[in-house]
Amino acid sequence: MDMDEVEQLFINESRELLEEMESCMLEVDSGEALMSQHIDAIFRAAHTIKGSAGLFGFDSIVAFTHKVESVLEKVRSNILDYTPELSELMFKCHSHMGELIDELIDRENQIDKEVGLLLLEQLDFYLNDQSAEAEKPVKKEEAKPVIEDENSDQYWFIQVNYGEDVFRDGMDPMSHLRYLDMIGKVKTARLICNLPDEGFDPEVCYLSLIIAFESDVDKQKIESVFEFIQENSEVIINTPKSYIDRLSTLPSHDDPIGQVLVKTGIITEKELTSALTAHKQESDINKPVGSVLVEQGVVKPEAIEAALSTQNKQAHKRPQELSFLKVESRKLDGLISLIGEMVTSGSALDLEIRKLENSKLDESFSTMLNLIEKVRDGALQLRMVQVGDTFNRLKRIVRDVSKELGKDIKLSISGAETELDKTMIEKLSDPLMHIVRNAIDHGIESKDVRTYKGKPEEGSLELKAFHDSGAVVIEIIDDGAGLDSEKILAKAYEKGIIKESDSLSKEQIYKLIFAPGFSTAAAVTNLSGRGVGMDVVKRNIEDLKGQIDITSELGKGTTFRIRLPLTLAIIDGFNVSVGDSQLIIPLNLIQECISFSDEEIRVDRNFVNLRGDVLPFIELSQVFKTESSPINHQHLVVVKYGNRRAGIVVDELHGELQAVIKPLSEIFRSIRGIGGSTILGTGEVGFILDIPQLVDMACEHEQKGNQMDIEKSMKA
Amino acid sequence: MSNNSDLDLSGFSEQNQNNQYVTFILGDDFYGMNIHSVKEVIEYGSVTTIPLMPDFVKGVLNLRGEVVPVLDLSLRFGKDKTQIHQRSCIAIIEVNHEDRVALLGVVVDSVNEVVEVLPEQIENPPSFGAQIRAQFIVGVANIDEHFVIILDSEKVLSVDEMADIIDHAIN
Repeated sequence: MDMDEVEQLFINESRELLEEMESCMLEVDSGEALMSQHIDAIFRAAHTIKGSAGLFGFDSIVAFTHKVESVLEKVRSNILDYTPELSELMFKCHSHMGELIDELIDRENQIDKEVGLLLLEQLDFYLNDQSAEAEKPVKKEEAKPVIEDENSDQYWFIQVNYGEDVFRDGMDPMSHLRYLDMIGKVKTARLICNLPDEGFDPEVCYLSLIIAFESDVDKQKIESVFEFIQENSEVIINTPKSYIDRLSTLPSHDDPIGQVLVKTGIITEKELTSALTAHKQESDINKPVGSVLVEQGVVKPEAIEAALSTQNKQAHKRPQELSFLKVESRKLDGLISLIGEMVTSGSALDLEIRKLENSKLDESFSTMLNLIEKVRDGALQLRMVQVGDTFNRLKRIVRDVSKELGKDIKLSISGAETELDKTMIEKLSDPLMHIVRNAIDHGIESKDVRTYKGKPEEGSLELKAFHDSGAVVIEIIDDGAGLDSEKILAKAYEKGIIKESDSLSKEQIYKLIFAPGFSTAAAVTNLSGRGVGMDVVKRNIEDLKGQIDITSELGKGTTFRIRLPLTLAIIDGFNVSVGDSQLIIPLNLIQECISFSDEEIRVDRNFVNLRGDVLPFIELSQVFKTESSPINHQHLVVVKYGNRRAGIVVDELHGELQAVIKPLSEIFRSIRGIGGSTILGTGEVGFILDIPQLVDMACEHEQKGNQMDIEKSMKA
Repeated sequence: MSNNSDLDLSGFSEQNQNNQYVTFILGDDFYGMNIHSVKEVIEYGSVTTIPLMPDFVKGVLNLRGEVVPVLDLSLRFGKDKTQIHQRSCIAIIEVNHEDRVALLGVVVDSVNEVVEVLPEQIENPPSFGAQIRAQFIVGVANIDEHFVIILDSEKVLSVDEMADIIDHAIN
């Protein structure tokens, strides 16, 4: 992995371009947008990748992308139709380009050259097959009689009324025509002679020229041709219609209308300045600059209209066009770990300062702590990215997989703007991919089955992301066959994952699909069904300190619900202790703390009555088998996550703190109930509790107990 | 060397390090570990125990903001539990694990010195009698009338193996 930074830059840039290309292609594919709207962006992406790859001498990328670009070019110039077949080919080419770029990173991971060659052949087909046709329109154009109409959409209309002194000044109208021919093509030129009936002066110029001119230069350039005669001649230049169309493709900036017009070459700077001066002199301040320009006859009203609509469009786009700063993630990580240390030493200092009992010191330090907290939040915010990009990547998978299986699937996405820590997003994309694939492959039935069951032929897959009490929830909902708990049980038993005597709740049965080597799919397709995947999904989610739950209704569909903490770096926690252990409960899970008298702990009862509600509780000292010093006054911390509530019995409460999460060493990877560690203000190590895991542990513990009771009674 | 029992190893030049070994006493035996893998040696103190862990995991330690696990090497070797006393030290060892360096602390009775041991001085480990799994041992060297068992830190402190042991102990 010895790589140049610049090369890395190329890779990043190319990936971004590929992503942009893909999302455009997907929009076209799904009919959300027309090809004509996106072809420029798609073409540009391919073109830029080719260009930069050329700089680095990545010949294979250049060679391949060149062909892709050529085909796209034909689409762009309307020579080729963007047929579904071509779209399919473009998706494959897109994937191949991605692979070619990935190959740069992992050189050992050689990609299949055959794929590329095959794709190139197919591209050639489009290039050669259509090339004969491609030439036709050009020929047609040549054969067309030269359009005499100077009002044509394509041509500049130039009228020059030469002043009387032109010849005297040594100017030659012919030279203007010759020069114009150099920067474009003079289609027609009409010479008008306004010869006087009497008193003809051979030194006076009586000529006017009306020119239809074809060129893609801007107005400024044309005006410059007549620069030397402008003083005493009249030059009118009308912009061709096609320039007005340009307005719609103008890159987005929030420019005033005048600037927009100048940029597209419809008017010149000079005209704008004079119009602006006139505008200032105008009594009616509210009169738009546009109408002044029209009054002065430099532009046509429709040009103004088009420019205004461009301006509006830009205003629409503005929120997305915020300026961004690319920062190496390493720098950000460095900053965040520094802030973490600052938080830790801040709380150490806090302890010392409190001992001094100096109110002024206390006050200024608490201001300081407040600031530290804000800096921390700000820094963490820097790492937050929207889940939308990950969802977009899934669009492609949904498209490909559903095509392959011949299922029609409608994918709807909501909450794409929900933010998550970047490292988490990266690790999330694989699990999401597996779940989505499984949902399409096993969940959603084939068209026939769906029709038979009376469901709409088109399957629906929903991706949702939203915030819920300090966590981010991602849901993948399909309206497929649902999970068959009987089948799962049978399979799990057959594979020896469970014993027959195990009695499991529905939720627990569903979770069996996460067991390694489990798969109920009758046929093993090349997409899924090999029983790898779901266990990886679970592990990945657990690595992120998240939980995954399944709800399902047979025949109606399945919902996978993933809950993730917002960040893995620093959390607000509540410090408690049991015996010698200092423990931290994430603050956002805590609902309240109540005192817990000893009488309420009964051996056979693990719940309390909390204002009329049953609240099951967990005694940490029991779960962790620590020697809890027999304190009379224990506390009950009421926690809630999702829709579960539980009480945690602890010895002592110590108060809030900011916990910089230090992941536990790899050797503790099988530890449960503890999500990480942190350094307390005293320098001691505290453990951050993983409440959902803890509750799961307690459930299992109880079930084992029940099982033993049953066995005992059976024996007796 | 700022402190009697704190050993600063940063002063040794790169070239000689290949043959430099840190020797320490654990129970009745002398052990050596290549200086490359020994990050530093600190006084024993403030080790936080972790609930539910098997005995050979003593707990975790705050090493200037890093949370480092501390292990009882003697129990790992299947010998008696190491008794903590005034001269007890924790050697912080660097082990490679999946492209990363993991830090692990091991409790030792005392750290002696850093000695140079040339490869030819290291003899093959005895086929039996060391009472330690043969794969943990690189060889045995005779230094100042003592047999020093040179340990293979990567094997002794294999992250995967220890994770498995812990997994067994708690599940």
